[in-house]
Amino acid sequence: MLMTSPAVPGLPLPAFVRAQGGVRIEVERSLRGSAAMRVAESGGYRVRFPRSVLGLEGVLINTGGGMTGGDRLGIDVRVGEGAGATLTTQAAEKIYRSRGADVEVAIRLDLEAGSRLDWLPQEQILFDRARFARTLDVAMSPSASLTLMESTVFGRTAMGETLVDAAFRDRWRIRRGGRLVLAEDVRLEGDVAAALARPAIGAGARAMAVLLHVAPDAEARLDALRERLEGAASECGASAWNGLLVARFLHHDAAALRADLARVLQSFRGAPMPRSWQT
Amino acid sequence: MHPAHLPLMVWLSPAFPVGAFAYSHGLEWAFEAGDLGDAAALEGWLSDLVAHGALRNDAILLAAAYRAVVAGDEGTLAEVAELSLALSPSAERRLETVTQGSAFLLAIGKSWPCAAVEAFARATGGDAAYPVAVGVAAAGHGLPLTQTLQAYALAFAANLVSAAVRLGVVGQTDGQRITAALLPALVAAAGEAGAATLDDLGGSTFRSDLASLRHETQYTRLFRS
Repeated sequence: MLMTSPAVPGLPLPAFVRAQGGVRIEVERSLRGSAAMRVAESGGYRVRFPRSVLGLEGVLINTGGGMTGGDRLGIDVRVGEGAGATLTTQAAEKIYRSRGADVEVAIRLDLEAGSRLDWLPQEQILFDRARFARTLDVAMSPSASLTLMESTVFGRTAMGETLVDAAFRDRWRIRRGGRLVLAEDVRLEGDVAAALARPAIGAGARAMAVLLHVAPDAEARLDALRERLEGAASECGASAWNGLLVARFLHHDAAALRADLARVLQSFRGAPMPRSWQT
Repeated sequence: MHPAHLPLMVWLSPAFPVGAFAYSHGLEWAFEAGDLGDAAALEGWLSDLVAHGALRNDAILLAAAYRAVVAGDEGTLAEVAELSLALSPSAERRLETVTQGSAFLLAIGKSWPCAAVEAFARATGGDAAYPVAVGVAAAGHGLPLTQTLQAYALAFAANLVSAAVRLGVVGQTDGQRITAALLPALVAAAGEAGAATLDDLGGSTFRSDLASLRHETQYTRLFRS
C-alpha cells in the first residue's frame, strides 16, 4: 500500500481548523430490500453504496485521508426493524502524530428488532505520537444480529516504525435489550512498543483485532469458529457466553493479521469480503 | 493492624470459602505455551496484571462500588455491578469473577451479615463480580477503603502465585519471593484505584486475555480458568 506523509504543519493548527464531522446513516427495509433511507454527511466524511448483489453495502470515506490531533469524527448508524447492511471503510484509517490533542472518534450503532449489521471497517493505523480516543456504543435488540470486526496496527510496520510515544484508548459498550453485555476498555499509553514487547501484553505483537458476534445464534457458532481459527497465523482464540461470541487476534505482522481476518470472516459470514478489502 | 480491620484478613485469606484456588486467570495456558519459563517470567507476567490488567480494573471497580454504598447511591452501584461483569474478556474469566463474587456474598451474608450486603444480594439476585462484592461488604462493615484495596490486591497476587506453585512454574520459596517483590506495585495499584473513577478503567494485557481463551480448549487442566 502506498503511504503518503501527512501534511504536518510547522505550527499546530488551532483546534477549530481541525476536521470535525461525521456520517449518519439510517437503513430501513423496503419492498426491494434494505436501503439507506437517510444519510447525512459532514466535515469531509462520506458514505457510498456501490451496487452489490450481496445486499446493502456501505463504504465510509474520509476525504481528508487520515486524522490528526483535534479531529473529531462521529458515526451514527441505525438499522431499522428487519433491515440489514454491511458497512466498511474505503481504506485503512491513518492516525497521524498529534501535537497534544486527541483524535476523538465516537461510533454509535443501533440495531432494531430482527435487523442485521456487519460492521467491518479496515484497520486503523496508529503513527508514532498519535493520540487516539475512541468510543463504540452499540444498542441492539435481542433479536438483532451484529458481526463486528475491529483491528488496530501499532505503527507503520512496513516502514519499521514503532510507537515510542502514543496514546490509545478504546471504550466499547455493547447493550442488548437494554442490558450491558460486553464492555471493553483498552488503554495503552507512552512507550507502546515497549509495552507490546512484554509477554502478558503482546510478546512483540504489532497488530490486534477483535471479532465480535452478538446474535441469537452466537454461542452455537463457537465450535465452527474455533475450527476456522486453527489454520490462522495469528495468535488467536475464541469464547462464547451470554449471547456473545468473541475472537481475539494478535500478530507481529499487520499484513498477516489482515489475511487471517479476511479468511476467517469470509468463511464465518459465508460471503466475500467487501470490495474495498480486496486489495 | 487496627483490630477493627481484622475481618479483611479473614475475608481475603485463601481459607475464605470463595473457591479462589480453582482459578489460574489463564496462567495454566501461559505455562503450557512456554510464557512462564522461570520465576522472572512469572513475576513479569503478574506485574503486568497488576499495573495494566485485571487487578487494576478490579481495584477501580471495588473502589467505585465501595463509594456508591457509602453514598447510598443504588443506581451507581447497579451500574458498577453490571459493568464489572461485562468487562470479562472470556467465558472462563467471567466464571472466575462471578463464582467467587457470588460465593463471597453468600458467605458474608450468612456469617458476617450487614444491611449493605443483604440489599445488594437482593438487588443482583446473587450474581456479582468478585471485586464489587468485596467493595460492598467492606463499605457495609465500615472498613477503610485503602486497606480493603490493599488486601484485595494482595489476595489476587498471592492466589495466582499459589496457582503457579501448584502448576510447577516455581517452587514455594520463589513464589514467596515473587509475592514480596510485587508488594510495592500492589500498594501502588491500590492507591491509584482509591483516587480513580470509572473513566480510568482500561488495560492492555491482551495475551493474558488470549491465554484465558486458549485455556478453554486446553487438553488437561487443573484449573477452571
